Formats: sequence, structure tokens, C-alpha cells
Amino acid sequence: MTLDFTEPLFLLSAQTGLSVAELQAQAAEGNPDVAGPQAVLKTGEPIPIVFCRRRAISSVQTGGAMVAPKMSEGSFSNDQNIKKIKANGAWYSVAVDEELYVKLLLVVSDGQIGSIQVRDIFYGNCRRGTYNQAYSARAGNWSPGNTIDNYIDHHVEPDSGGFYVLPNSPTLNEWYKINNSLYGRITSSAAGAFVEYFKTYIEHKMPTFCGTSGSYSELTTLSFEIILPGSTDWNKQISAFIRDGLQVTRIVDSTSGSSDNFADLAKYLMLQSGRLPSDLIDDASLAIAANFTHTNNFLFNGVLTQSQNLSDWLQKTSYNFLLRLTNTNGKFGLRPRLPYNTNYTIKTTAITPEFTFTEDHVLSDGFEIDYVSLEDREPVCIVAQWRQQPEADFGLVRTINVRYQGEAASGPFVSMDLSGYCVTENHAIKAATYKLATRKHVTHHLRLKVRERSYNSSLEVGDVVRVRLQRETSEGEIEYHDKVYEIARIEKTFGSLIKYDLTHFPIDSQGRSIVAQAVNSAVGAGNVINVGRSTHDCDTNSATSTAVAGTTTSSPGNPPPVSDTKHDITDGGQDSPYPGGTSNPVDPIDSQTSPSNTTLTRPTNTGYAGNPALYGDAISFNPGCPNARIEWYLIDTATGISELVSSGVAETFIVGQTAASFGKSVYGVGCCPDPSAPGGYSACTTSEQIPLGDEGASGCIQVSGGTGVLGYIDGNGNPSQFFLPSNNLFQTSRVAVAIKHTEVFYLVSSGKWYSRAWFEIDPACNGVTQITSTGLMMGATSNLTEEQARNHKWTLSTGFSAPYTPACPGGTCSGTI
Amino acid sequence: MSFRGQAQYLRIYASGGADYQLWQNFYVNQTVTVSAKAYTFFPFACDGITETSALGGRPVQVKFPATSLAVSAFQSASKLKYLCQLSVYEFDTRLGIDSPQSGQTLIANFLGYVSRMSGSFTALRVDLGSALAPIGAQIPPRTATNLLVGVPIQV
Repeated sequence: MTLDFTEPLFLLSAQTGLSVAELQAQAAEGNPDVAGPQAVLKTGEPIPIVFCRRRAISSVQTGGAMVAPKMSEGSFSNDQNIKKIKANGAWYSVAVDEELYVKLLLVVSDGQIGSIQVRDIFYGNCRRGTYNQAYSARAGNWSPGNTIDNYIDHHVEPDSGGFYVLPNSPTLNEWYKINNSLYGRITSSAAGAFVEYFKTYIEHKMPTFCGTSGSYSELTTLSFEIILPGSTDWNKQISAFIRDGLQVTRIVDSTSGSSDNFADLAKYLMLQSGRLPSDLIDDASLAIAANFTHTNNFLFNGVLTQSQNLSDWLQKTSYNFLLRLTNTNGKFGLRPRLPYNTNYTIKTTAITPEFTFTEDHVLSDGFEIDYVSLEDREPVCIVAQWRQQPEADFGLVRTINVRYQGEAASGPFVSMDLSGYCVTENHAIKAATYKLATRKHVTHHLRLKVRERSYNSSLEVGDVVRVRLQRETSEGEIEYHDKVYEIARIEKTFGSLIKYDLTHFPIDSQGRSIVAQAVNSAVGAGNVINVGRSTHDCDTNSATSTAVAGTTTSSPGNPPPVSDTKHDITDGGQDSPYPGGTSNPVDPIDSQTSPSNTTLTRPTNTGYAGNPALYGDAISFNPGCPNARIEWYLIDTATGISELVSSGVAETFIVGQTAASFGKSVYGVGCCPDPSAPGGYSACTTSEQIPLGDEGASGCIQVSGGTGVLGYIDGNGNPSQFFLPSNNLFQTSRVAVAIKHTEVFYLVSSGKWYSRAWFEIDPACNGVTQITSTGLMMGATSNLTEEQARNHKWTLSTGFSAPYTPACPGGTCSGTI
Repeated sequence: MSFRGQAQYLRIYASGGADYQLWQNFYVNQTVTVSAKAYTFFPFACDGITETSALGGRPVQVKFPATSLAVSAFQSASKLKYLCQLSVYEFDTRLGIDSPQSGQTLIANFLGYVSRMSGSFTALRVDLGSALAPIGAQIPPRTATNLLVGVPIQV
């Protein structure tokens, strides 16, 4: 069974950008945020990427981005500066003023950006301070720290009377802090005169922890240094106008430098993400996209500061560059959303479809259409936001309302925020027009299932195709579904059919794209709002000089040791099979069904396993659990019929005279206690069978109160002595008390059949018995057949005549079979 | 009657270009050469490739018998992030099926990582795709770490 999870067709409206998702109003990204103190870099926050390029577009300088970098290190100190003048060759001190020395290290961008011009850097709203810029290094040559008020030499405490007592002769040129005042006796001339100064002490709130350095690997850093009057608030945001942002190799001209091309940024981010190797990036489509945006002046001049998902961001942002993120053949790329000419301008002439699908191609039930829903075609007014980017100043966020004539005059208004990166009015208007035109003219999506043909290889995503299908709604009245579409998705099943998901591509009567014409003709008024300033009264740096920041760098002063910031885990080696075999513990429950721990206690009269049990023997069976219920069965070996003869908890079986008759065996069935089972027992185990009795004995087989004599049943059925007095076993045969076992066997070495008896003797007539056998007597001196050997019957007797009398007289037969 | 034959070729290779496995599923028990690469026979099956201009397309799934060779190859490919290139060629079977034809047409060519593996004791299913998933890469890619910027100033 195969489940097909093809996406619903209606999702194409959202995936192709017809849906609007920006109904909630919020401040545009491009609004500057320069008020307030200097921002501090916080551990864990993203390192911004500054991607911009200021260049002439139609003879107008366009682009660039204003950034407000965050600081990672600071140095703060102060001192009382003595102003001296010279007159007639002699100097005089005339004033003492406190000065603040503030130095900050700022992280500007990930990667290397172009050199920043000094005129483009602002301290608050003023061009002030000195700067150094570095890449992959720490800019500036100062160390972080706070030495505020270190110039104060003495802190005078009040005495018990509340008086601040100075030394009789205060040290020249040293400062005494007296409560909230400063006192100093300062040399005022070369002749050695001095002047006493009383100044108000100014308390400064400076950071105590001033930061530690890092490696700043592959980061652009900026060092800022400034001297301020003691009464000044030092904490102002530093901002910089970046003319040349991140340095990349531009796709359009294969030149290294800053770029304002969205395709360059997309490729950079794909590679930097570490998720896509260059093999999975569709360079061919990126080249088309780069030329398309370059030619149509869809420029990216902005800063990426907010952490977001790359895929989402590319999909969302590419729409505003009239591009779509594609995944073709596993490779990620960008494709223009509009038809384009060979010079990458928007194509407004007639479109030639790549292929025309007819009923010859479409399979049965292979036509599915989905019309765009009301919410995706309702007239709206797009409020496009873009950023007028003046030179060396914060951008002004501009808005323009784009709507079709006579539609959505009073809304709904849909915000389309391009202000974070869009710096031309035309770009914003064209993007808004594209959205409106597609919402107005794209009416449906189509899914075709077609048989495999040459288009297997020729058609690609983004190609424009025609679908012309005949429809006969009434007899003789033939109509056609004849529309042009753009391929949004191809699913090659390799099962003799191909699925095409198509988006309606509206054309006019001349075959020209209606959307492309609308976008191409959408042009802004081109008015520019005058910022009204180019210089500031507070500037101390030139507003016109193109000198760039210095390049002084220094080694990181006190970077954290590598062991504190980096921990590489060594590879633990290859995964391997477990050495050795398996050794699982025995399951205490399931193992009850296994007879492995059962015990069958057999008679040991002969010392031979497998010997039959004889009359009087006791047999017990343990199935492996306590308090087992044992059932004993007699089985007729000739017929196989079993008979339950006894049962009970831990029941033993005692071989009786009847049971010991020939041709029967006994076996036990042991069942363990199980309260959950019907009857209270389960997991029953069956023992092996034990043969009972023997065919080789007859008559008396046990004597008590004395001994008997071992003999045999003669041809007349009467007992007869077996051993002659000359035989070695003659005396032994006279102390027999029981026949325990007989056996018939064939001895290969002699080629004869024998019958042998194992019998119990009491040699000293004192009740101490032992087992012995007859040896190879019966058959030893004659050639018995097997039948004769099996018919031989051993027996005991107390009634033979002398010399065949029992050695222990007085015995009587106590057991017969 | 259709005479359209399609042969699938799977190339597993390191990002630098060194080939790890070259398999084809059409010429049974043969090693055939395509684009100067020798592909050995291995019975795999691919149920389709999706090309899309709207993200959200499903990955390509290839099914294999769970032989030690297949399991070992894809465990390595998954661990070492080898690239897998699935190429599908189309040709006229009337012109011969003993070896690849010179005029065969490339109708699909998919490139991706081993994004997911699953299966049973006897079958192995391998999804080919990329890691640029909705929960994947973040931008900006780098963050302020102690190694990079030290411990920043505290105001």
C-alpha cells in the first residue's frame, strides 16, 4: 500500500504569495532608534550582518545603511586638567577643569565590511571622537577598565567636631576630596606660586565591569575614543552610516566587494548557515535572480539583527524582490516571479508557452482545479513602506498607498514593510503592485496528471505552459478550457504519470502577462523629503572629508582562556557489537513451562539409569516448583493406553504387585500452583516413562526372615536350582533376598544371547544387603536363541533340597510376581 | 504500448567529490558505465521526485533491501553527511536494454543528504533532502559568545 501525501492545491495561494498576512500594524523596521544610551552587546544575541552598497542608480547616489553598533568593552577615566597660558615667556595656570576619557569597542558586523568614513560616524547627533576600524581583530589599542576618580589623592574624613582637617601644608598639585568638594593647591606659575581651588565633586556613574576581549574572529569592530567635559553625560549611542557593507563576491560581475543584491545575500546566508554545502545551491538560478534584481534595481540595503529562520526569511523577503525560493533537484535557488527578457528586464511582450497540454496528455481523472478563495482576492490597499536613505543620516520611512482605481478606498489596508532594506520608491511600488495584480488577476490553480512524454525532461518549475482541453457541455456545443499557467510544482512519480501543479498566469488578448505589465508600469513620483541638515553645530569632525577611520588594532587584553570557552569532545570510536555471547537471566515465570529444572527420583536398585522399577519401589517427581500436584499414570506399552492411578500434592508412586506386572510403564504429570488458573494449577510438565517389572522373573522375587536361593522356572513351570556347587556363585546364590532386575542381551564378542539377573544378597545373614549379578551364566555354556533367552525366568526359593538350601534358614517368600 | 524505459542511478559521494557507492537498479547483475562512472546493480526503488517553487515539498524516498551493504552504506552516509545524487534516465526500450544507450535522456536529477532513515528488519527506507528545514538554519548565523566577543561590558 502506498500513501500519497500530495499537498492540497489550495495551499498554492499561500505558497505563491496571494495571501496577505500582514494585517497587524507595527512600526516599520526602517525607523531609526537613536534615542537613549549606548546599546550594550549581550551574550547570546545575534551578531548583526550589515549588507548594503551605496552607488549611483540613474545618476543618483542610492543605498547604504545607518547602523547603531553595540559596545562590548569600555574604558572610563577622568582627571582635573589644568589650563595654562604663556605670556612674556612665563606660563600661568588659569583654570582647572575636569575631563572624562571615554573609550568604547563596538561590534559593527559579522564579516568584513568596507572602510567607514569618519564623517559618517556620529556620537549622539554629532560627528565627534576618533575611530579605528578592524576586521577579525580588536580595533584600538586601549584596555578596558574603570579608573574614575583615581586622580583624587586624599579622602579627608570629618573629625569628632565635624571639621575636615587638612594637613598644615597640603601637598602641591594633589587633590583632596572633602565630602562633595575637591580641594587642590595647584602650582600657578613657573616661579612656584600656587592657587587654591575649591571645586564641586561630580559623581560619575560608569560601568564597573568593563568587559573582556574575545577573538573577534571574522567580525568588524570599531574603536571609539573621546574626551568630554566632566559635567557631560557620556552615554550616547554611536551610529555609523555604512556605504560599503559586507564584502562578498558579487554574482553579477564576479567581483569582490560590497553588494546590494539580494541573491548575493541569500547565497552568503545559505553558505554561512552551515546547513547547505555549495553542491546544494543552485548557482544557475541565483545568477538569473541576481541579474533580474540588479537590472530592475530591486536593491537590498539593510541590517539583519533579529534572529529568524533562514528558510522563512528567504521565502518572505524574496517575495518583495519579485523572486521565489525554489527547491529544484534538491538544490535551493531563486527564480523571478515575472517573465523576463534576455537582458533581465520585465517582459511585457507576448509570452510563448513552453508546451501545450491537451486531452491527448491528460489522464482520466487527471484534472483538478481550485479557485482562489475570497480572502485571497478581496480588494485591498497595500501600504508599502520603504526607506528614503539620505547620505550619512538616518533613513526616513516613507509609505505609499497602492490600490486599484476605485477599489479599497477605505481599506482594508495591508502593511507591506520593506523599509528595512528597500531604499527606492519604485521598488516598493512594484512589489506592492505585483501583490495586488496577482490577487486581482490570478483566479485559480490547476493540478494535471499527465502521461509521460517528452516534457519529462524539458519542462521545469517556473516555465509557462498552456492547457487547452475540449469540453462538450451539450450536443454539438464544444467549449475549451484554454488558459496559460506557470508551473509551480512537478511531481515525477516514475509510475508512468507526472503531476503538475499550475498557477494561473493571466494574459491579455495579445498574450502578454497582465501582472508583468502592471508591475512594469508602476513607477513612483520620485519626490524626496529634504532632511534639512548636512552638518551639525556640535560637530568637531569634518562633515565633508572622506577620510576613513584609523586601522590601529591591539591584541585582546584579557580574553577568556580557550579552556573556558571551548570544549572539544573526542570521538568515542566506532559502534561495535557487544563482545561475547548472550547470558540472559532465567525468567522466573515463563521458565515453569520448561522441564529443565524438574527432577524424577527413580529407583536406584541397580545403579543403572533406565532400569525398570520393581515391586515395592517408590518413584517421585518434582516439576520445579514446591507443592506441585502430581498425577501418576500407568501406560500399557503394547496398546499405549494410559490410566490415572493416583494423584495428589507431592504424590509419590509406589510400585505394587499389579503395577509391576509385565508390559507396563509409569509416568508423572506435575502441575505448579497457579491461583489464577482454573483448578489452581498450571504449567504442567510430564516426566519420562519408567518401565515397571520385568519379563525375566517369575514367582517369588523377595524373601524375608532369612535368605532364599536363586533359581529359575524349568520347562514344567516349577522352581529349580540354577547354580551347581562347583560354580563360583553357588554360595552367593544361597544368600539371595530379592531379585531386583533381569536383562536379556546379545554379546557381540561371543555371538550368544544371555539372560542375567541382578539380585540382592545378605551374605552375613544380618540384614546388611548388597547387589550382585549372576554374571553371564544363562547361555554361557549353551547357544540360546533370543526367544529362549527372553523366556528364561529367574526366581527365588526356600524349598530346594540340600545342598541347594538357603545359607540363612528360616526365610519365607514375601514378594511374588 | 509503451516502450519508455527508466533507469535510476544512485551516487553516494563525499562533498569533495570522492565516490562512496555507485548503484543502478535497471541492468540486473551488471555493472554499467554512465558519465564515466561505473554503477553496479543494486535493487532499490524510488517512488518519485518533486520539484517545487513553493517550499514544503516532500523529500525523495528510496527503498532498499536491508542488506548489510545497504545499511552500512547509509549509516555512513548519514553520519558523515555524504551527498546522494539520484539520477533517472529515460530511453526507448526497443533500442536495447542490455546496456545504457548513448541517447538516453536525463529526466530527473535529485541531490540531497540522508535526512531520515527508517525501515524494518528486511527493508530500509531512506529520505533524501536537506537540512534547510523550517526548524533549521537561523540567521544571523553567529551569536555573541565568550570566545568571539569575551564577556561584554555590564552597564
